[in-house]
Amino acid sequence: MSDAPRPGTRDVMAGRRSETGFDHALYARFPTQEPRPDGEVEELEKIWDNPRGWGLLTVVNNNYIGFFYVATAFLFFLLAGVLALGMRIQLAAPMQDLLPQDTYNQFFTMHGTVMMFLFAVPMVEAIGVMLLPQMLAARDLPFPRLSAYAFWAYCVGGLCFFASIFVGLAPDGGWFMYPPLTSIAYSPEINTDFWLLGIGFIEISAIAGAIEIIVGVLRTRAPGMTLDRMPMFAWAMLVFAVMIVVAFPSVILGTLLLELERAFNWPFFDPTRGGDPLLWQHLFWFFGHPEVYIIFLPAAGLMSMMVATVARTPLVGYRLNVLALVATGFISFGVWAHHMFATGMPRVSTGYFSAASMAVSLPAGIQVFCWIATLAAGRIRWSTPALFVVGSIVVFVMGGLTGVMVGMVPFDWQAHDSYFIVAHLHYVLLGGMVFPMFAAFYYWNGMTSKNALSERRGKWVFWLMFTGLHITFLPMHLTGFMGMPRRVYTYLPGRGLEWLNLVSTIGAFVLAAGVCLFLYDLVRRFRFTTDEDAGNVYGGGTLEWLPTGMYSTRSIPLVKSREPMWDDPELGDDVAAGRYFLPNSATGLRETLITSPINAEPQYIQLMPGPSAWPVASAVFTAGFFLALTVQAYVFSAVSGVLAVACILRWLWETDRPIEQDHADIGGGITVPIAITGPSSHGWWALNTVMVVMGMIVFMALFSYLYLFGINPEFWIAPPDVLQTAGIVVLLVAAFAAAWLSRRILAAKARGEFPGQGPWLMAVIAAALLCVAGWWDWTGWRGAGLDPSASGQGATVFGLLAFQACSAGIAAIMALYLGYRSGRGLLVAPSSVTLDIVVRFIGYAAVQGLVIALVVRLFPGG
Amino acid sequence: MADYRNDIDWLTPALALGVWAAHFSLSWAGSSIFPGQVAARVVGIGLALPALFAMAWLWRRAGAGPMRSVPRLGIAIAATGVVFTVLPALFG
Repeated sequence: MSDAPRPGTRDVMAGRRSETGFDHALYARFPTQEPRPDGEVEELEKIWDNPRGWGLLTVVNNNYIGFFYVATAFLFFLLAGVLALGMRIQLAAPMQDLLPQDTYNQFFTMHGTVMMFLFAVPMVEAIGVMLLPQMLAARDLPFPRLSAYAFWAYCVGGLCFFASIFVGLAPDGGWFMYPPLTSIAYSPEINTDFWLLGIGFIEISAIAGAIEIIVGVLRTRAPGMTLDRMPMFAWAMLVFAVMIVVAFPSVILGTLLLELERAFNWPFFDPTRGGDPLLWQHLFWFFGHPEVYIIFLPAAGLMSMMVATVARTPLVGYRLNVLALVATGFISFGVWAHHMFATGMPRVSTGYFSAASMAVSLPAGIQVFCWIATLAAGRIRWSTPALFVVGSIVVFVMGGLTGVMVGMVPFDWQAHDSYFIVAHLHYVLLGGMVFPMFAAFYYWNGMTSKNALSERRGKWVFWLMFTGLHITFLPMHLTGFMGMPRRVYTYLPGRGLEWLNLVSTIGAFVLAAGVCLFLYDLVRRFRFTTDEDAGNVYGGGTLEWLPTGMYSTRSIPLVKSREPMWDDPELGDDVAAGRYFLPNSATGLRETLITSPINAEPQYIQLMPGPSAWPVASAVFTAGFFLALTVQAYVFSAVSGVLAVACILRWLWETDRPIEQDHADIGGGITVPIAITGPSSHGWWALNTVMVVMGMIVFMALFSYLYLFGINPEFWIAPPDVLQTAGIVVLLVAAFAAAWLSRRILAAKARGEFPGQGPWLMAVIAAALLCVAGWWDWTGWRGAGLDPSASGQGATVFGLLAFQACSAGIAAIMALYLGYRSGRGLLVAPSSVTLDIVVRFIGYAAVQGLVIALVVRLFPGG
Repeated sequence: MADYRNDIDWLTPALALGVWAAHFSLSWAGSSIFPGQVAARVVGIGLALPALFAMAWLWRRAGAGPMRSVPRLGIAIAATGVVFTVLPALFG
């Protein structure tokens, strides 16, 4: 930064240290007064232009990917809703045979699975992809091709997964798939495999989206948008994405273990061989209960933004709301076993989870009171979003109260697996996510449509849905109290259940009528656009309502408050006139401004990739890999896997091309570097997030190992000898050192100089050492007499070693890719993003191998 | 001129909630390792003391800076969580 002081210098005005060394006095230059040269907007439009027709398959821009994502998630909402109507018709009267028992089992399993995995989480992620860049005034999220990959993987995988119901092969073990019901003995067909592989794959897509969101929120905010000025939705999405990377590895591991048990007879969940079916419940619910908050928190973020607009006053208790989001994120990880109160856990353990279930209602209550206070403090304009917002508060509070009831152990024992639970969870999810989503559809429709949706029809939609919801689910509390269990395809007459079920069925159709009316309104009014939108219909105050094109805003504003559009009426004009940051394309390429994570100080320009067919191709082949595994077409699966890897490498090939220019002017005479490496770079943050995901998988696998050791220690045998352990440690330490040396060799060369063969060769050696260490560990345990199919110890140890082998294999592919890039002259000193990522990954894999090798030897049997 | 620094101390409430998470995890581990034994209760109660001391230390730490109400509320929520968690060990 030519005009900025050295890093670490003090800001004279405030006498406090700047986060990056950027001088905040430079902000006084904005908005700039000098006229901008002609042709800048046209150049931006040309650079950010997208293909048409079939070329849309290759777009990566958030305006399109976000819209595709939202539309696909809504399609799954409709499909799962149709399944629900089928179930309600079946239950409208006793002893009906519209849906045979097996089909009914598939219907309720698919309804729950699709709503949770293919609608709720993808929908909030989709809304994030669509809204966040505009809300943060970034040109796009930092990894647009990753967004495109996440979307296409989800779309292709989700549609194939749903199609299984048309051939009678849909999963039928309930959305939480408990073994032993889902083990090979009781579910020998491939229905369960569809769930395990399909959902595991779709969760990978969700994690990819979460990485994008974490880095996007922390690193692409407009200058001046400190953490304390972030829109509530951005805060909510940050907490949401962090929760995903912590929680989802658990279900990915669980699905992997159950699939290994089914395919190779590894007894993770078989108590006769040292496994335990309750292990599945721990793994599933460690993901499954945070999942509820993962769905709720982004919706709460949307609510917090809309409530301020409908009340026409700033949100009351902004900081309390943020604190509540963070506290909910933490405490929600302490409630998973309240789904297991009926499994016979130790009494004190159940007490702990009951206590945490009470505690988590505190931050949720803070949010609700903040919303009520905001509504009370302002003057409400009773628009359609306002109705949905208020309706959501009412419904969510009702669901929350029954949640506190079932958080108490004695009550839960009575209500467990009854229709009371069905009523509770639907109140929570409809109030906590679906109603805010409809409010958001109306509120933000003006960003993507030429026409606003009809207010008159919108109010009808609300009242139909609100009434239908209560008619459907309120009687279910009584149905449950009267003893009707969930997941039964029929019931006997004469038990007082007929009228309650009939009322619920009528309510379901009233609710569906509201959704149909919404669809009708969409068809009548919605016309997708990226530049001639209906605009800020409800008068929101945040940055997404600035005038935008495909490049987002013409210039990136300086943010001085939480509702900049309310506080600075000139902001829109100044931004459109290019009077703020990056008013043009500084490099002639797609780019965005990367800022610091806390104070959002400008740091560098990130070059962004454009449209490409490789993300969609890699997503299709990844889906092919998993789906072919499901139907045991192993050759096709292997070919798809190889092609998926090849496509991913091809897509990455273009994303790290050195350019001549190393600095650029971002407006106001301020210059910043282009595409840096190291801890300040966005790639560094993304890789760290990937490491957290992998680390969580290993952590949960080690938990599984220790859990089974605690339950069935008599199955444990002694580990291999100490010398072999020492040898593995030496190999892994050497791999770490070789990776470190690779970077040192590159850094020692002069700028622009070719570093020779040293860096990539050291990376390859490091990866080879990882592979050798893994092979030695595997053969060592085999030599010690451990058999993966003989005991829980064997299954978990070889499961961990298989994961380490995959990590080593990925490291080897990355190292060879680095070598190929080096051979093509794309590895130049003193730093390379590709090398940085490859060697840090190898270093991480070495540490992971060490942890696995040592921990499993600390709890020996024999 | 607007202030462009983040004034809120988010680290303190995050640490407080981290203390709650550690206390909860270890208490649960104790109750699982020693099911139905007095040791399970001893672990839960014994860990509550250092957890609450840590909260008190964080409270004092938050008191030194400006804008202290938010971190202190975070500590209060986390401390309530610890107290909730120890109740089953005492009375459960």
